[in-house]
Amino acid sequence: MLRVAITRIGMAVPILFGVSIIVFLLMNVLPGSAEAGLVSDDMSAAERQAIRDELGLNDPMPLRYLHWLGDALQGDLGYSAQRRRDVSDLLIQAWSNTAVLAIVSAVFGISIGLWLGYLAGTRRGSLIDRVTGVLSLSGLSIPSFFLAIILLAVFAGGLRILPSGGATLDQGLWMAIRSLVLPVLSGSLITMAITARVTRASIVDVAGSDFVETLRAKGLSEFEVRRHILRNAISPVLTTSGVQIGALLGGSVLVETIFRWPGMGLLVFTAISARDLLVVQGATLVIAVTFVLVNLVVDLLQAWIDPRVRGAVS
Amino acid sequence: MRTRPSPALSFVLALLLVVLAGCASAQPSGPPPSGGELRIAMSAGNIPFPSTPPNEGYEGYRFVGNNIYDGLTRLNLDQASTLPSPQPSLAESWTMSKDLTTWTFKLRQGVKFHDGTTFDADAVIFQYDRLRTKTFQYYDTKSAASAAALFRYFKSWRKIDNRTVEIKTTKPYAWLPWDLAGIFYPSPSVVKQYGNNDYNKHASGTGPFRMTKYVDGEEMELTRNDDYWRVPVKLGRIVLYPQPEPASRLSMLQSGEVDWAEVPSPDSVDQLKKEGYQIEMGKYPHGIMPRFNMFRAPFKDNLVLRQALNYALDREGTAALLNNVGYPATEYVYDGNPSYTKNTPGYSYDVEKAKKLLAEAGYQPGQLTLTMAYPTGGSGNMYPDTMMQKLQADFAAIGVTTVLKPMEWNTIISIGLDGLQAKQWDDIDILWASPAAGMMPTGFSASFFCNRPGGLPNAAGLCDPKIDAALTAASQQADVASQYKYLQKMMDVALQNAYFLFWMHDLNLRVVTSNVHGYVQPQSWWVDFTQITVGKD
Repeated sequence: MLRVAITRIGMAVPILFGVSIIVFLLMNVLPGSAEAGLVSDDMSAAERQAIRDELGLNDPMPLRYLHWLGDALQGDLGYSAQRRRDVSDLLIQAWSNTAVLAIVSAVFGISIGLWLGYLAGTRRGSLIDRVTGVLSLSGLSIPSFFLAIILLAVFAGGLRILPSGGATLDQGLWMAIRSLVLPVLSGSLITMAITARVTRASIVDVAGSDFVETLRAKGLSEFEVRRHILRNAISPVLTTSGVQIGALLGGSVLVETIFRWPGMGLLVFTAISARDLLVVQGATLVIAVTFVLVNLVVDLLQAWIDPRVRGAVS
Repeated sequence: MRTRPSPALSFVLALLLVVLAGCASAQPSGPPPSGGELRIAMSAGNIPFPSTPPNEGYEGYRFVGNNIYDGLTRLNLDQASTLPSPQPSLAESWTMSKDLTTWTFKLRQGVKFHDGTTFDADAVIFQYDRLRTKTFQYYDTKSAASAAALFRYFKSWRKIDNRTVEIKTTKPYAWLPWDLAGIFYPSPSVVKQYGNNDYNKHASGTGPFRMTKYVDGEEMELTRNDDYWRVPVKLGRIVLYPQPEPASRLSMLQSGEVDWAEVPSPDSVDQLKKEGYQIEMGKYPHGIMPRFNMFRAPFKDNLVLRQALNYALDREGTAALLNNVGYPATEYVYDGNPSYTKNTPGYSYDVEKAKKLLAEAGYQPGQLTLTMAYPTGGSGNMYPDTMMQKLQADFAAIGVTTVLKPMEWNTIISIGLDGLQAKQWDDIDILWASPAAGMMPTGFSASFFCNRPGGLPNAAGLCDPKIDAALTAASQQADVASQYKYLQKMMDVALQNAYFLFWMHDLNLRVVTSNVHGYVQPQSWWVDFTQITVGKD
């Protein structure tokens, strides 16, 4: 298993390298300029050049990339002139905020999705199956920002029973839980919908297998049979969950903006808007590493749960 | 049988750990001090950093800069009847030479920075060196770039004695007191202790509020400076939250999380009035005045075409679409601004006249297609999407096709820096502009001069010797009334020549709860918070 983990991490290195190059190139072909927010429009050409020099924007592109890469390999992600802070500081703050939201959203979305998918898959054609179908389709169809604004208008602006957001972890556990409710509901809807659909499909597939008939023929209780079905059906659910958790940990611009939750999505969005290359590069690296690690964990988890997968991975 | 924790349980445990870790760092702000706590939902995407100058444009000055710091001069923002103008502040008086090139400022005595050190001539010189002298140990390249426009005409500066500073300008320049209202003074000892890069975490000025909490991206808390030198500050505390999304700002207000919301959606105004909120609106120096690309055809040397498009705009209709949170512009500055000219009538909505002028300009309906670049958002841009759709329809009504080119705000700013003559932007015929039109006379330079003060050509290619002469003369009059006489002349020329698309003025919409008292909405982007109180209705 350790060998597998090391191999997978090794495979991630070229992925991270490639991602950083693509992001660097994309940022450089965007219209607009990094110094735009730092200078006034009646500066002299020399003043503009001075700030471009300061930001390293006058160096050739490959050299700028190599500088960034060299520093990053030594753990220095640079200093954001636009935010006047170390990039690593910004990333730690944003990632911690996103992690809280992502973990709660993942637990909520995956648990509810798993439960709904299980009920629907084991009771095909029943009312709960149909309700789950409608719920999961709605979850996939309703844009999260639309749901977010409706939830805000109803529960914060209208009923005034929940705060409108904000990462209020320093105001106590109760306030933290309350401020998480609306962003989690908005952010986890898609996760719930996908998990429910995948779980249902997988359970329906496994439930039709010969071994299930054999288990029933052996006289196992229906509870025991369903436990076996679930265990065999969990593999695709884990795979999609890994992707979902990775996406949640990357942050959602819309949910984070609407709920004033300063996480990775918002950080990357504002950095792209300000052409803050160092922050975009650093954040992309962190998101990519997170994605790779989450998927590695999911693969290992799958191998741990399912001996067939273990054989394939080894 | 082996037992193991389920993945879900592991997640829950991890979550609890993270939340508890967050709670462990709890730093409650405590009860609001006397005068109350004013919680504000800003429209900025982030907390303006408390540098000198701050970022986030004039929103940064409004909420952070003017509260933490003072300038040698200040705008009298505590009244609504006139355009705020420079008044004594950290400089209690000044004199200037007859040729307006040498200024001597007497500094106020007994003023302390928030860290307890004394404000004096050394602190002034320290800041000028920090922003202008590249060889100075504490030179701050980034702040220097942001502040460059304010130092445009500084030639030299020196300390005469502990309470006297002399500034020499590169040319006769009567508007130095305007520039000085935007130059703030940090405590030199704090800059020296933490360095320029870490200064923001420890910002210390002489202003009416001290920065007592600053979490970048989340909130800033400003607490009353009980030793403030100018007036007793009534308001106890200000808490700032960034929220660029109008619907979310509205929810924050309605849920009671804030007492003050910047620019809610215009559609919400009527409902908010019914709910008892105070709707603040008033004329102030902010307009949407798109710029014609005068570097080339069709607008270069084609006055009639520029006039035709000005007559084609249904400004009343645009205002109605915005629920009248803005109003039609008759010229570049608003009626009531001292630069406003009454000599030249503005452009009414007259489709027939517009069509006739279009034909005179050499275009039959359907022959002219224009590309207009505009921002998709950004603080201070009013409501670009709605407005641009209306403009497109207005131009279509006279047979002109408009290609809308939505862009990020950063890109629009970049175009303003590069100019429309730059190859990558030369396909743009009209460029969105949202100037603080007339807030400070110094603000006209970049948009009106043939060459911007830094030497670069006017970004839209506008070049009229009459305007250059009037603007230059205005900046060289010691007498304020004479300055405005020249500025009115400049406005006359701009209006007669239809150098801009004179479109809309903003009314500075903001909403405050009924328990906010003593607020004065000045004719400015900036606000005086010292006399506000928050308490029972």
